[in-house]
Amino acid sequence: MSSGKIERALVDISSDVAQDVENNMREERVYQAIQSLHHEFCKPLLTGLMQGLTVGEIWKHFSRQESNLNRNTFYKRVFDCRKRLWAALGGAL
Amino acid sequence: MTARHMDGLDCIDPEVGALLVQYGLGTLDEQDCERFERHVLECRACQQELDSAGDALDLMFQQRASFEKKARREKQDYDSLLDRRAHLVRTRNSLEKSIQESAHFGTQPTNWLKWLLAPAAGLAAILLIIFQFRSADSPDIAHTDGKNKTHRIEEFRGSPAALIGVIGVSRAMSSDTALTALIERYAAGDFAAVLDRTSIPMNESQAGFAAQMLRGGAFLLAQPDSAYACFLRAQNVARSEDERIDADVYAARAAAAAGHYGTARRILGQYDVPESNRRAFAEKWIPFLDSLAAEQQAP
Repeated sequence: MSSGKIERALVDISSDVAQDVENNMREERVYQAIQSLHHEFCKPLLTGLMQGLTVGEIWKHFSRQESNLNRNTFYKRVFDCRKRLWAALGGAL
Repeated sequence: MTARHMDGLDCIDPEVGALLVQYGLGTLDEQDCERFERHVLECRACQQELDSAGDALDLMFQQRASFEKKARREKQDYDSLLDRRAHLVRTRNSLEKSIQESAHFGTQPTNWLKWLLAPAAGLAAILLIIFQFRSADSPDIAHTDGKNKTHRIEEFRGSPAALIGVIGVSRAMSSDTALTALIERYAAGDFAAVLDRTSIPMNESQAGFAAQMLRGGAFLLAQPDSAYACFLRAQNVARSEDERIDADVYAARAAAAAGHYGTARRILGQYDVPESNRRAFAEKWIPFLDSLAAEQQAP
């Protein structure tokens, strides 16, 4: 391998590493923002979604726990949680 | 049924709009994915939210596997959170009950003990709620490992970035800015960005032609067969004779680039050119025929 190719390869590798680090930092900020939501609905909702559960499944869980919870209220809370999450992230990304 | 969004706009269908985070994480099945994308193309509230939260959603999409792994590793297990929440709901209900009971104390003067205990019980319940949520951060909290099921699908119809791009293109009919931005990226040779932002097949006729043409152009050098398919789709959604001519000229170009000269000639040779568009057509056709001839003469 010529020195030019090696240099290019090194530049590629270092830019990949820098990108990985940057992605990890941004990922950590999103994760911490979710963890910082001390809210009885938002944290389980967002954590459940992160673990691959569907909104429908989470609705079933929550409606079992709160018999008087209706769909409208549930959706309002979902939208509210998103609003909280984006606010918590702010311009962090 | 409406749900408030960030700027006070109402989501036109909250049941579908509620899928935004799932969309960001790429965990929707194909049917819901399509439902959501169609919804967003019509829902101004969701478009605004996508615009403002696009970076976070795109990051979620790119790092979805890592997020899920992390959620499990940090023991923020969904089941344990649900258990805690169930406890909190019960606590809150009992708190509300005690407050309701305290409201009747004036009619029960003999039950003086409740006068003292009710506020204390309320305070204890509030402290318990605070404690529960603070302790939710503790890594020592016992948890179960959850259901270990995933709804992730490996192939996604589109990423949040692509959807934002398509929204941009669909809006371009009124503002032109998003389409211009895409064209600029195309002109700058950033074909990957063009492909990324036009990766969702647009069912709506609005701006479909422009997106397909850009997409075909982005494919032209590396994958002329794919480019040819894009230009044929553009031809199908063309809304004017000029657009159809453009699409055909480029389809022929792509066919030629793929080595299918017969197809290229057939596309152009059989074209019935209306008198009104003859000049415009000729202006595009002649240089193209020249380039075809040059390609054929090339070794």
